[in-house]
Amino acid sequence: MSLVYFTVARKSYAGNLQYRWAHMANNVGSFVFGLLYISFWVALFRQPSAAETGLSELGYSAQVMRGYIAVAQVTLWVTFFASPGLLIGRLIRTGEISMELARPVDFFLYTIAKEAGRLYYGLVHRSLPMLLMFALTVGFPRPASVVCALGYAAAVLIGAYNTLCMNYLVGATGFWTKDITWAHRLLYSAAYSLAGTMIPVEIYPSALGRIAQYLPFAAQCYYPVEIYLGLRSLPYLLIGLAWGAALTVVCRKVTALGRRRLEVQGG
Amino acid sequence: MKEFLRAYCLLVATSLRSAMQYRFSFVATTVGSGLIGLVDFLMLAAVLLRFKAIDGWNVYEVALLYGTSAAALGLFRTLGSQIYEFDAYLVNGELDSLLVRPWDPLFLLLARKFDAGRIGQPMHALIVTVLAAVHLVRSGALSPLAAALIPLCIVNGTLVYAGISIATATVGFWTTRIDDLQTITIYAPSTAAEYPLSILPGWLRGLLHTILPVALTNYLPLLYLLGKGAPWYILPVCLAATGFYLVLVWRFWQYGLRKYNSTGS
Repeated sequence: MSLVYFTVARKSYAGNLQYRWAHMANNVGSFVFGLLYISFWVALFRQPSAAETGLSELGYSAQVMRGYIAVAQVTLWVTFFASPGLLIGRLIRTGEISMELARPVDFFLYTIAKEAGRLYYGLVHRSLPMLLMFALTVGFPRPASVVCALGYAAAVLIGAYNTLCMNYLVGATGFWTKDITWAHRLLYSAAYSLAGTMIPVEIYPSALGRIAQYLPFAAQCYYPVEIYLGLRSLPYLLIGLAWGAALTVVCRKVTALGRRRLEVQGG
Repeated sequence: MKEFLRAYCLLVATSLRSAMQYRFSFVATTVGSGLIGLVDFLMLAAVLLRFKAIDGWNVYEVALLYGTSAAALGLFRTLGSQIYEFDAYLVNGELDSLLVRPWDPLFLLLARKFDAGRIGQPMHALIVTVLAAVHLVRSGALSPLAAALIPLCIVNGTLVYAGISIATATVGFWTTRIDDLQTITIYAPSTAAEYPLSILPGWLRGLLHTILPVALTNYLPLLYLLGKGAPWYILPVCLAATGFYLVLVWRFWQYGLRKYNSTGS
């Protein structure tokens, strides 16, 4: 049975291959974004006031932030950039959803398997080329240790799973609202700021900085990068794991409710 | 041209009126997308406040950079949305139906859709700009006269983004798809323009002063307006450079249009 989901993921990977070259142009764009963020941090740490910010006590310096941004930009393509609402919104709008729900497979697993194939594509055709680009220009840091490298791999899997669940929920709002643009923008915006894509979340002022470390967004980028660089220890993986478990329950519940709610337009 | 402007104003009024048919949805979308933009900026501001400044620009000065760049890009995306989404015309062959009309397709594209739903983006950026300018005037870093010239920067910036966007669309005559290219030519430069360009490596800074001249929209004018060492004539030079850039882009567009092969389906 689980072979079905594996096949779905593989087919989805293969389907993405035709956009390879277009995505290479996009990789260059993402790489430039990485350079921008690196320049931003390097300039900040050049400030005379940098010593008083307390960031060096947290382990950050211009050099560390260089690595942070590079690792984050490479990681994002696997753990962050999923299709809006995993394309469920479109299925609902066109009515195709009824066929999809009628398939003899678990809809939740089927949908995230399809997207997992795309994220894997992201790993091979986005993350790896970008890793090369960074390594050949501004440099790409080595993992702090073998344990950190393994922890990073686990954190990436956990982050990707949380991303799949959150985007699944965005798509599932379509059962009630027909238009998921809103939910998508909201999630994307919250996640972009709170996942630590550009700013390590603990740097945010007071309460926000403390809370952000315990939100599911932190698993999407912040923890994988921090663990890779050896700034955080492995037990922090538990935060992402707990969220993954909780989100799974919510996703299943919402799917059941949505299935009952579904009204397909005739036509 | 006059005829075109009249037609365009009519179109804007119609789009706004049609958007207002769903008043709640329109207001909610506008306020919501504005808030999202605002939150993004506040996160950045939080870090800047901690460091006090970046390359000699304090958080209010960076807010002015951010506001003017985001307002200019947002205005262009609202006013000229179809140029931004030009590859749809190439992929579906819809451009052919524009080619048989008596105006240049570029004007037809501009007049095709006023994207009222996007108006929240320039709005939030304008609010940031105004708040930053008010603070800078009060603290004496910006003279009231200089503040009065900021709208001119935003208009100039809108034209610069129009130029970059049209040039990117023109590349589409050869490549068909432009959305990935836009990441490099529009997203990345507009993000770069939200910070002082002096923080960037030289080659990137050079690129943003010439081929993708976002420096003209805010960085260079503000160097003078905020008294950071640029002479007064940087303003007319920026305006003239924008004009020159638009002429070049226009010729590139005309050249690309002549090379256009329809999808033929």
